[in-house]
Amino acid sequence: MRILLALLKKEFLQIGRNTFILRLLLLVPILQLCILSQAANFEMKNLSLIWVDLDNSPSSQFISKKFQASRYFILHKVTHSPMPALHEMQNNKADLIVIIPAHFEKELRSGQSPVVSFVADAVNGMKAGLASNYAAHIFMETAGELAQQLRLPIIAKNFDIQTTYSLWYNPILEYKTLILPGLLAVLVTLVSGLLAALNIVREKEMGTMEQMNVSPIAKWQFIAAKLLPFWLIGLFEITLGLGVIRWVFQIPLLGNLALLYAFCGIYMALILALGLLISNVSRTQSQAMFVTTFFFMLFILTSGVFTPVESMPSWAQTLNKANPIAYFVDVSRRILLKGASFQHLKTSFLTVASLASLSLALAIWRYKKTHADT
Amino acid sequence: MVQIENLNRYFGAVHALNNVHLHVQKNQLFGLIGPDGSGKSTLFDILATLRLPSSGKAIVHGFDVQKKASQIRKIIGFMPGQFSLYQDLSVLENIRFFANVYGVAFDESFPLIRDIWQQIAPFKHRLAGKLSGGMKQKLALCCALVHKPSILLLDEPTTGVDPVSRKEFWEMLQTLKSQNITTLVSTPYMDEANLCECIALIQNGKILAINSPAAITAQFKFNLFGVQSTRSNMLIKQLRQFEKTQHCFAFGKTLHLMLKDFSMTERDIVEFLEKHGHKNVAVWRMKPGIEDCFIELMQS
Repeated sequence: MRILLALLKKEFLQIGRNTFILRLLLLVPILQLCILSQAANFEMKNLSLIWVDLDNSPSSQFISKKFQASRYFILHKVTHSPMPALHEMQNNKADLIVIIPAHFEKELRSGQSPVVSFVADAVNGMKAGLASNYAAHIFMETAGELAQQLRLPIIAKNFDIQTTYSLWYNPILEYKTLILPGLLAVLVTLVSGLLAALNIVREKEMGTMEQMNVSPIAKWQFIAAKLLPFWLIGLFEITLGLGVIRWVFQIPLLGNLALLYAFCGIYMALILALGLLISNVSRTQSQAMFVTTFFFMLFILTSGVFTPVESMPSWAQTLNKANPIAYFVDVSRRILLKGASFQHLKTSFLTVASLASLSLALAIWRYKKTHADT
Repeated sequence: MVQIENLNRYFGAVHALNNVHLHVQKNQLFGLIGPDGSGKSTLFDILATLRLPSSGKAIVHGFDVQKKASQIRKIIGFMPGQFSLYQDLSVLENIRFFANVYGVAFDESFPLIRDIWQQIAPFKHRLAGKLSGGMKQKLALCCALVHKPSILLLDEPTTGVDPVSRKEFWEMLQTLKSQNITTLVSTPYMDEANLCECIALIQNGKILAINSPAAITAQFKFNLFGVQSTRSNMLIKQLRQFEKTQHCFAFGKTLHLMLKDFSMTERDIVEFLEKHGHKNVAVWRMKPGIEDCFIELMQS
């Protein structure tokens, strides 16, 4: 205990003296949450629209106005023949072309179903999909109003199968609500995991590791003293991140925070154990940095923070069972947005806890005070 | 206090320690003298329980390095070749940290470190990384002594340290002898060998000789001369062609000439050199130093 206290005191002295780390700890969460939630965004706004009106009737103009009023589209051009519009798309000037056929209004009045075409620039597949969805949505909304205006009871017939839906947990489909809890994972993983790994390798680089190894300090004492400060730092980072989510982004924190902290505690143990393993196999800080970045990128991109896990191939979903970040993203979203209870999250808790004990045991076993080879 | 028998250590194909035998008596100041890469640090790492030997035995204070590493760690003070204290902690914080790790209170008046502490006390709030090279070594010595070890292992403590600090450092080591502590120190500087009670000369992982510095120089088998000339560029080549020459090496501006024949005098050498066109030649008899003995042993 005496040795552990002496080691902890030393660690905190060193961390407190490192102004770079202190600044990093305060700035990274705030900047990351603010920048990524604003910039890495799947909502499409300001799509460039070309309106090809072959009908030129009051009805087509009515719908065109609806498009202009929408925040998704900016009307780039109105033409009366399709060719110039397609030419514009070739030049990257248009994301979506809407073609209103000739006799559009006439066909509506006569009870036929006119065919409106959307041509989307599908170089970016997701963008194209969203653009045509938005456009279809606007048509659906407008149809009813148009029918009233034209005093056409007939048109309602086309829409007598009404679909209705309600969006739970994120009623206005706000992307921020989805991504912020996920970003928390990025934050604690990167900051504390990397710092812990680098800290231990630094002792090797500076030669102080030798001095530790010839002293009577036990393995577990050395490791505990290395991990505990970064474990606390990780929890501090989460608190800071939650504060930003609650007070800067005004997203209500629905779930049980104590449950979230309990999960974070176990998760941090896993991340730190992985950091420790990396520091065991690295001789220099730059090596540790590269290894960490490699795994971190892999974990982050497959974790479901940015793209849904369900859209990944099944082998990737299986690999994700060993991806700590995926668990954190899932659990933090379920607690913060859905208010899930321990019963719902039991499997995740147990899996992360067993992964943590496994990696900790491996890390302690791998750490050797005496070297037989090299 | 330290017994090493048949010790071997390989790094892949490199035979870093070759059948080393070594005994260090209690309270001795024992020097391990050898050039860079001769195996000194490997031997220290094994004694400090940082590395395992490939074969052979090493006993420190009755404990086998392979079986009783944790016991050894409690009773040794180790100063690695590379400065290995926390550069971002102050002098006092470093000493207190090591004292705490070993479970002792830092006591400035404790005789083992009193003299050293007096020298570094004026800088006690300075970060260790901002100390001069000599001060760093004094601090490291202080940290290695803070828990009253019975054996002190110092791996090249004076390498890269200025001559004045080197001298002060060795004076401190001399005072430790009276404090009931066994000191094992390595150095590539031959002039420091005379400050030890007993030395081992080591080269390519092999021990060449173990004895007191005086006994080692007494065993020197050649007739030794110092030679200088104003035309020094061809001098060493010509002296090596002299039929009586065994070895000839440059030590600064002076050449050390070792002859097999004890009947040769300064006169004979001067005559030989004048025949080869040298005019202002100075030749004088020399007492052999550790360096001369090292070269003799290395060549044989």
